[in-house]
Amino acid sequence: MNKISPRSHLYQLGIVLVVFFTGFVVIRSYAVPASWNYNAWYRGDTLKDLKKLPLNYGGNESCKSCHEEVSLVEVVENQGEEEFVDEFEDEIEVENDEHTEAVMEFEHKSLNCESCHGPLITHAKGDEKIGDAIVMDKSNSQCMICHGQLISRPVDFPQFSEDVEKHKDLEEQTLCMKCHDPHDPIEEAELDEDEELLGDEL
Amino acid sequence: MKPSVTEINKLNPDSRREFLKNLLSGATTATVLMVYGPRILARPGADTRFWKEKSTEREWAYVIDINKCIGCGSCVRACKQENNVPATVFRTWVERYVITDEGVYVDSPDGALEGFEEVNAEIRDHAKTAFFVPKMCNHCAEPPCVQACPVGATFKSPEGFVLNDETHCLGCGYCVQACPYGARFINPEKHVSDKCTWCYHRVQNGKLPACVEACPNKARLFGDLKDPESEVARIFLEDKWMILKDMMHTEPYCFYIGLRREVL
Ligand code: HEC
Ligand code: HEC
Ligand code: HEC
Ligand code: HEC
Repeated sequence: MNKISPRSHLYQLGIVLVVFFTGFVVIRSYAVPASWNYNAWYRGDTLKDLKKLPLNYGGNESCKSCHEEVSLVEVVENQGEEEFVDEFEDEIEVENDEHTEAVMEFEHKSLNCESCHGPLITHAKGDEKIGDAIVMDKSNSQCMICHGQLISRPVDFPQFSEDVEKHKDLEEQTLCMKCHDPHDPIEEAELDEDEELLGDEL
Repeated sequence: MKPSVTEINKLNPDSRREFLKNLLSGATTATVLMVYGPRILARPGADTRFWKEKSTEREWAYVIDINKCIGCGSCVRACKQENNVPATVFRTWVERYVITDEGVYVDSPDGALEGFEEVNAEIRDHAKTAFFVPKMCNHCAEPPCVQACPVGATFKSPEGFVLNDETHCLGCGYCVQACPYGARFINPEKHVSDKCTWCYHRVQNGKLPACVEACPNKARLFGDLKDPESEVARIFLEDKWMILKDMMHTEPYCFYIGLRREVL
């Protein structure tokens, strides 16, 4: 009969520990991502992954390259005469040092083109048009979402009201755009109800 | 035979004194180790507050001006389209507060995805004042969600963005519970935690967050506090900002202008 070592229980425990430890190290090396940041405790590559996400919105600058004429900021030729600038008062900003052009801003200058036309990514890629820039909604709710009268709106924000002479007795289906150019609402309003101005394609 | 106590003391007359000495020196060593041990063991250079690995180049901040918000929800729609957020959950949303003589009425129909309808006549008749409050992740300097995450899926990036790693996230929802601003949610399509990233991908590529871009009335601003030219730096100079839930000590980086105490 083989003599059993008096320390065999220790050897057994040792083997179990070694197996356990190797298992732990192997599993851990798979489970912990390679780029793990041990100081801040996150997967470093997350930042790279996030940076690669597509930019759906281009911002108003991105439309300018192809749609200069519809941009909410109109570029006016300036002959370099000081009086020209004064005529428009604060609506005019001299764009560059040579005084060759001045910029007149429309009431809707602060609006994002894409909030009415949908994100750039569906419409253009690089310098090519890839799809129609839909006008998301031509109905009056398009305007009312911003201009509807609400008690919680700031009081100085222009809201649709019956106080304006032309707004009285409007029929339900009369489009706001009949009188207001969506890009330059105040200009067209002064020209009142001329239907032909915006065409019939509405 | 059992020895008596006096016999033991005779056998080892110093044992009581020895015991007290050992007790004292042991307690002293333990105290010293507990106080200085972590400092000695800490890696040189590494901040012990691990998430404060701040970049010194930029300090991004977000400013929301209550006096300018018109509650149109353009930001909510832009966020959804930019980040493909499912319809039922919101990375940013707009709340309406109506302060009446009977109490405060708060609502946010569909997170203001389709803007707001006027409140009903009963509330309107009692209203004293009303305003909109856009809400989103506050990108805290001390984010409770980062502390709560058991796997290191949510973290504070070196640029100061509180981000979530959707490949590493288990979807346990601890962070959703931990956030005092209700800014986190479990994405119903990916089944992991999701949140506002301040459009990390846009900012790192030199653009503004989609909600800031979409806001028609400049109620939302984003910029670098360290750039003295930026609009957020100017607002800091004026020192009129407030933060949500100051008492939580989360040190948010979303600053509000014109916030009323009903919202805090
Ligand atoms: C308030 C919503 C709104 C905003 C903001 C807006 N648009 Fe429009 N846009 C419209 C509507 C509505 C039409 C359709 C007008 C029509 O059918 O006559 C339109 C038409 C157009 C057209 C078609 C050609 C034309 O002139 O009719 C272009 C191009 C265009 N928009 C570009 C832009 C650009 C570029 C911007 C940003 C600088 C912008 N839009 C901002 C609502 C908007
Ligand atoms: C790469 C160039 C390019 C860019 C950038 C671009 N567009 Fe266009 N867009 C076009 C072309 C080309 C047309 C077709 C013009 C035509 O038919 O006369 C068009 C047409 C449109 C129309 C009319 C409806 C249609 O689809 O035919 C609208 C509205 C419009 N663009 C809005 C925008 C807005 C808003 C942006 C910025 C987010 C933008 N575009 C950026 C090239 C561009
Ligand atoms: C995304 C929000 C938004 C939408 C949509 C929008 N507007 Fe505006 N509108 C504004 C803002 C912001 C101003 C500038 C207000 C200011 O000057 O303080 C403005 C200004 C105006 C003004 C000039 C008011 C004044 O007295 O200064 C008119 C008129 C107007 N919008 C009409 C319209 C019409 C018509 C539509 C629908 C085609 C429309 N708006 C859609 C946000 C919007
Ligand atoms: C019959 C033509 C007409 C129609 C249709 C019309 N408007 Fe007007 N609107 C005007 C005129 C004219 C003004 C006055 C412009 C001024 O005072 O400079 C005006 C002014 C405004 C103003 C500025 C009010 C202020 O207090 O400064 C807003 C906002 C406005 N309209 C929104 C709308 C909206 C939204 C619709 C659609 C529901 C609409 N309008 C439909 C003619 C019209």
